[in-house]
This record gives sequence, C-alpha cells and structure tokens, in this order.
Amino acid sequence: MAEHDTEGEISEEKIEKLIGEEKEQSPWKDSLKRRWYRFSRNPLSLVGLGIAIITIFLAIFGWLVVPYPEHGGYFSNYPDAFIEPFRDASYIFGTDEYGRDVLTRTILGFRYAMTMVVVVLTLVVPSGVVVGLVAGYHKDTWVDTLLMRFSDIFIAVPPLVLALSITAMLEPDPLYAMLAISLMWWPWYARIAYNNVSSLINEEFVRSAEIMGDSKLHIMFSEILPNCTGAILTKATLDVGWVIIIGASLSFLGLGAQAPTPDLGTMVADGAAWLPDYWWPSIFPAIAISFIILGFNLLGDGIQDAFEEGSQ
Amino acid sequence: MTKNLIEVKNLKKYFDTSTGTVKAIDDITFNIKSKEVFGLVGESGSGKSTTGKTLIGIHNPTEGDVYFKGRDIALPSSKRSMAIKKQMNMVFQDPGGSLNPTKTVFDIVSLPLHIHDMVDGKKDAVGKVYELLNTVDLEPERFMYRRPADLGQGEKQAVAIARAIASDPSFVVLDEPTSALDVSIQAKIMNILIDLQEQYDMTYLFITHDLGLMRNIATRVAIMYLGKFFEVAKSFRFFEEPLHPYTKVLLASFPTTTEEEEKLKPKIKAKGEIPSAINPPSGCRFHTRCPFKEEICVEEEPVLREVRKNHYVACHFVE
Repeated sequence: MAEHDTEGEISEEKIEKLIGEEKEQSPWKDSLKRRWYRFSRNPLSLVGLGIAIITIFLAIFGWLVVPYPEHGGYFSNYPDAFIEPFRDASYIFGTDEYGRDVLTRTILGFRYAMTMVVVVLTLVVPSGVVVGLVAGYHKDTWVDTLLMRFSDIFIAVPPLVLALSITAMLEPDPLYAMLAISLMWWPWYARIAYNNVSSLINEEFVRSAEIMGDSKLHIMFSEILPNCTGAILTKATLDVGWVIIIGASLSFLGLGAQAPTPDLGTMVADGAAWLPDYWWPSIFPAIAISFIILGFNLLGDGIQDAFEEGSQ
Repeated sequence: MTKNLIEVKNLKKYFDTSTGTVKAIDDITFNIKSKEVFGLVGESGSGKSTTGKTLIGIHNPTEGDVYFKGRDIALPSSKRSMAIKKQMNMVFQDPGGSLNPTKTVFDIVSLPLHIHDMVDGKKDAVGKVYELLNTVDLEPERFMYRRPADLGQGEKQAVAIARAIASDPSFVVLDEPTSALDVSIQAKIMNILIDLQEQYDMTYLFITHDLGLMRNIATRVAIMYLGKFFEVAKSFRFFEEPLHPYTKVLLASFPTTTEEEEKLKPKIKAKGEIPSAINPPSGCRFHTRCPFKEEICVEEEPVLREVRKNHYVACHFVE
C-alpha cells in the first residue's frame, strides 16, 4: 500500500479532519432523513407513530397519569359498581362490578400488553433472524435443510393451539404465556430473514467480499444483515399487534395475566359475563386493543414505505 | 521472455441446469504473462465471464488445471489461502451490485485492508483510503463518507476499482468494467485502469464484448465463442490480419466514422444468433453461422494451432 502514494503523503491533521467529517457528514443521518421523508409522506404512518408513542408512554408512565392508581390492585367499592360511562365526570368510562374505574384499568392494562410485546420480541427477533441468516447464507446445504426444516415444525402448529397447550400443561402464569408465544413465533423471523438473505447472497457485493477473503461471520452479520433491517423492522412492528391479540386471547381464556393484574384481555373476558346490559367494562378495553393494533399496523406500513427503495 | 503469472490447462466449467448441462467453458488452455493485459472477447454466452470468475474463485472448475505463480488455484475462493486471495481481485460489470448499499465508500474501500490486516487503527485506514481514492480520481474529501446510492455509475466503478487494488494485488480480473457506463465516462475509467496497470505493474484479465476497446489496452487477445478459443494473438494483429471468420464478423460490426475505415473493414456477416451452450453445434461451433462453411466444419472440430508466429487460430481454412 505504501506504493500507492501518487498525491504525496497525507498529513496527520488531514486525517484528523477526515475522521471528524465522518460524524459531521454522517451518511446515516442523511439516510435517516430520506427514510423519514418517505415515512411521513403518508399521514396514516404519522397517526400510527402517534398511537405507538402514546401506547408506549402509557405503558411506562400509566400509573402516574391515571385518576385512581389503586384501582389496579385488589380494590372494591361496591356502592360505585357499574356506573354508566359518560354520566359521572370522575368515571368517564364507567366502573366495573367492583366499582373500579374502567379508564384507569384500561390504561394500566397497556403495561401488561407492552411487557408481553417487549419480552416476546426480544426473544423471538434475534433468535429467528440468526437462524434464518445462517440458513440463508448456506442455502441448499445441509445447514439450510436442518435449520429450516426444524423451524417448519413450529410453523406447522397453529400458534394459539401450541401456546394454549403449553400454558394449560403448566400452571397459568404470564411468563409461561410469553415463553409459549415466543416458541411458536421465532420461525417467522427465521423465514423472513432466510428469504431476504437467500436472495442477497446472489448479490455481487457478497461475491466480492468472498473472493477477497472476508470471513463468513463478517459477511453474514456485517455485509448481509444490515440489508435486511427494513424487512425485519417492518415485520416486528406489524407483529406488535399480533402478540397483543394472542396475549389477550390467552388472558381471555384465563391462561395469561392473573387477577388482579389489570390486563386488557382479562378485562374483556371478565366484562363479557355482564354483556349486553353492562357493556362498558369489556368494550372499552376491547377498543383499546384495537386502537393499539391499528396504531402499530399503520406504523409498520410506514416503516415498510421508508425502507422500500431505501437500500438502493 | 516474461514468465507466466497464470497458467490455464484444459479448463472446463459445466453447469448442470434443468434443461441440460451448459458447457460454459469447454477445454481452453492459455497463459497470462506477468504485467500483461490479456483481453478476452466474445458475445454474451461465450463463457468469457465464467472464465474470469473461475480464475478468481467464484466458480469451481469442472476439470482442468489453473496455476497462479506456479501454485494450484483450481479451487473455489473459500479453499484458497489468504495470501493468494490478497494477490488477486476483481472489478464487476455492474458497479451498483458490487457495492454494498448499506456501507460508505470508506467502509467499502477499507474492507480488503481490514481483511488482510494491512491497517493499524482508524487513522491508518483513513490515510490509506484517502490515497486509494486519489489514485482513482475521486476527491477523497467529497466521496469518503458517501453511500453508493449517492454516486454516479462512473464514480461507483471508480470505488470498485479502488477496492480492487487496495490489497496490492498482482492480478485483477476486469469483467466488462465499462459496459454499464455512459460513453463519456467509459473513457475516463479506461484511462484510470491503463494508468494503474502501468504504475503498479499489475496483470489484467480484461473481459469485454468490444474488440475495439482491446486495441488501446490489451497486449494479447483471445476470441471466445461457446466456451472455446477461436483465435489468440497480439491485439494489433486483429486489426492487421484477422484470420478467423468469427473475428472478421466481430470487426465488421464496428461502427466506423470515415470512408477509409469503412473500406478497410472486413465485409462479412454472420447469420442468426449465438446457439445455446447446452447443445453446441457439432464440429466447428461456428459452422451454423459461418459464411465459409464446408462439410468438414460440421464433422470435425478444428484445433487451435499456430498459423503465424504467436498467432493461434482454430479454423480449417486458415493457412
């Protein structure tokens, strides 16, 4: 390399300046700006982002903003039971059979839902992506066959059924519910990573890295993986809604959150017993579930738009 | 007599497909001398790119021997030693596809330096990439932290060239490096390549479908057709005395600007298109299109023989 000094030696200061420029020019800031532009072109994406931010905020700080934090635990106030919504200014969404504020419990329910999402996605996304990445890079070899057929086993079982049988076998516990959901969820990330990677391995930049002698690990994780971010992020965002639905379904069946933890699925289940006369204890949490799912679906679509031509 | 950097003996590369075996390279033998630019000319489907990719290790040869500085490299790149991989690199036809869209120019050009442990810390890497970008006429301050998406085709190809020479290779495969570029940029990239070759005494395998390009850069040229060599000679010989009918066809297809040039051009045309490499024609593979076809062409395959000094032709009728 020392032979390549056509323009004379480069000075120490110049190098310092160039290193500084990397942060200043920040190509990533640039591409983020472009992505944001494509994302924000669709107002629905912004609505989705807004809902997602509200959801996350309420999941973390819900206890601080609800009118009656104590209604989230064992609490009863029978004289105030089944107050109709929009009648009493202090109980806008009405109260349930124990006289607990439905608004308070709905907001507090966000925490359980989002905890579930965070735990499940943290387990599922990295494990699935690594399996799909390794299998995709070794496409059409025994590694591919072994990993992908193994993941197919889990895909073949209907998600809710597997989660149901696992939680039913063990004692009902939110942790088991999360593990059960994760067990049947990771193969979808393996699939999506696999599909992306197995087309990316035909790209010439991968050939180029190989002939130069780059290590397999570096090619997989540094050259190929960053090109799949868009697809994985989109899938993860869209999955937030699905995890919440499945989590709520398990709770509805009594296999998820246990009383008195405020949880949207349990609230719908408990409130369903009083339908149709006392509709509000179940309908408001149900609306909240739909609201969160809608929000994250819109956000996911927006992220997909942002990454669509992003890598070209 | 300069010694051979690359020696290829009876090289074959077949691909099995659902419709049959594609004989992309069917028994070719040639040498590339050190510091020489060896041109490989042919239509698409002739096997010229496959030849380059086999030498660099993207494809594993089906049969035959390939030696680099006397060492056996008839292997895919994953089985070659790091020392050999450091000494050769490749510039691809499509600069868009050969640059990782998620990386910056700095990342791309410094990758071979990192792979071969040629840099000591970030500062060293920046310094070396700076010099490399200068050698390919890219202003380092402007381009160092750009991403491929922000570059023009010519600039992308310059980055690919900077990457290809980063590890100080002695041998570079250039797979149609200018055919995806605008004409105005082609000349610039060609000049960079010619300068680099002279400056660093590199050896090129220059693959192209454009025989005209060869006049400026190649020392020797091989004409390839359906996996076979038809003619091998010093590049100026092709313009003085093209011998194989196919070479004449290639030269006849040149656009000319003056009447004198037009008069000098051979006036023959080939019929039809290049046949499939799955079932190549019997005998001479060119007989289906050759204007001078006789019976012997269908029955017997001509061998590549030396008809003039250092001028090899595979045709029954060349004396």
